[in-house]
Amino acid sequence: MSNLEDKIVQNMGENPAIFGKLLLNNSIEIQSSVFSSDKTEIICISHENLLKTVDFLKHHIETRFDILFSVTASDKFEFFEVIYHLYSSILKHKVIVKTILDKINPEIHSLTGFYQAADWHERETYDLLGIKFLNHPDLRRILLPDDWKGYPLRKNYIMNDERLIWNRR
Amino acid sequence: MKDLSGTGVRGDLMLTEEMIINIGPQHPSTHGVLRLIINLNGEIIKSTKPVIGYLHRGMEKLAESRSYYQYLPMVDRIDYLSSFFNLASFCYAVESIAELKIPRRAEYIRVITMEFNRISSHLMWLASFLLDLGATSPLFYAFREREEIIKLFENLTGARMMYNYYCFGGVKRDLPEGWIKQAQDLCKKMPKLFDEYEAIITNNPIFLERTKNIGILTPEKGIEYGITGPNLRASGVDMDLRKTNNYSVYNEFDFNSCLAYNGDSYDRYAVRIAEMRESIKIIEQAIEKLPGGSPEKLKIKRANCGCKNENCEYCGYDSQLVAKRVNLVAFKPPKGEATSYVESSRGITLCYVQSDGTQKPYRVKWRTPSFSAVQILPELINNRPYSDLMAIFGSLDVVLPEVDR
Repeated sequence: MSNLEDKIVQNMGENPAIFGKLLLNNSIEIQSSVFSSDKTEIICISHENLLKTVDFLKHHIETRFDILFSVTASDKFEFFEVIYHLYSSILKHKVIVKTILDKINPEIHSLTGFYQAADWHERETYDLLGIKFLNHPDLRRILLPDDWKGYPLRKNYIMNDERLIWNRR
Repeated sequence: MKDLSGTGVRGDLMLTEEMIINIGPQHPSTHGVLRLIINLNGEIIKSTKPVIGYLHRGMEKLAESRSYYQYLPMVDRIDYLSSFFNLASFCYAVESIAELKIPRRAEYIRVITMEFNRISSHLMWLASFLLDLGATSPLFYAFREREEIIKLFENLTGARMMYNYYCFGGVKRDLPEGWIKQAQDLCKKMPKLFDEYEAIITNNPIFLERTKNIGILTPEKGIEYGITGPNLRASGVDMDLRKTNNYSVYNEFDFNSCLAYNGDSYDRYAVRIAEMRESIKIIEQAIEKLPGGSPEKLKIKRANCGCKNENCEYCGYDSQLVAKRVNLVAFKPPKGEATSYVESSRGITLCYVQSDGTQKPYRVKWRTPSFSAVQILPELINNRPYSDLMAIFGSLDVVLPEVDR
């Protein structure tokens, strides 16, 4: 654990990883805490710890992340990255939570228990990237038609669907 | 028979069998192509199922096969009524990856155009909202002023709707000669014109009857669903990224975030009218403080000065338009990721860009405020009479291309 804390401090330079340290101090395991190019803290956690971490971040008095801006994912060839943008309307700060999922049968717990907003955002992620959200109340396609084949935002998606034939005229 | 719905409509006048009605996708009052499947019990809406996706153009997939500069004009089309905000959020995200610091003159021009865009977007909303409620004349009032703003934009960018005016590191060209005078005249005129709208709308008894205490959005519900912008501020939550997030140069201006506390349709109207007045205040301050001053003055001063000093008021960095001319073909931001949060006219537009160090973005994610506004619609209109549907849905200011992307 101490190694990890050293790593965080080195990564940060002058910016202290506030939320990463807070999570460590409350004995919630995180994998790393880095900063994105626009100085927002990114906390990487394992997907088993997601519910625990989000529960902590939503209710702890120093974090109070009460708004979920978006749920999205990115196909990184070897794995999927699921990305949550959180914001606190009370303390006016923001954080990004990231988890990593396997390429085969990607499944993760749904956040609909914490944020109603997660409902449609998770449906969108399921629609475009095919990530299954467990315990989601209504996991259907949202933007694409129900009978669409494949998940377009995956990098191995082949764009030769017969319904796209008008595009090649 | 007792009152089943709690809305004061007598139960014995209602039909007992529920009826399913399909509204849209092509329907004039859905502001685009939204489909609603509504379960009616007499006049009362029992359940609602919004169906979206009819305008899905795959904006996120298109980004992956285009270079950054090829994708830039497409960004306008995400929300055609407030193009500048989309451009700004994509530019801010890419700029923070590429670590381009924007000159202050470009930032000021961005703020001026964004605030004008906010007014024109709110005017469009005002026109269509009151048209939904059956009032025709506000449309002509609102379009009269919107036309003047659009003419300003046409003068500046050459386009009336899809501006494509910002580029990475700044803006594409300077203000044309005489533009500042036109903008100042318009700013002087605007508050009186807003008074005109208020004179015909605000105390109109029919308008009050149809919007007061209708579609009440509690702050807890709004936050739970991720509603942002004027819709949330009408419920009394003070969340304005221009105040707290300090993107661009908003911290240099004196303005208030407009709040109302009931969260009904009327409050959403009141907040937007107040926001237009605040935008005028910001534009006036921005024009006054514009680094380098008017383009005519800047041209002469720069020719006379020619000192090439970094801190010079006229030929220094801050009075430039673009930070660094980037090569349009070979523009490659380094590996990294960034999110930009922009307070657009409808709420918070979030653009998340992942770059893998090549010419094309690896992943672009758009989070748009209207998406959440459509999601909360069933909460607001269930157990209300059918006639309230448009009074509630119209007040949320949903633009469908933005929902579907």
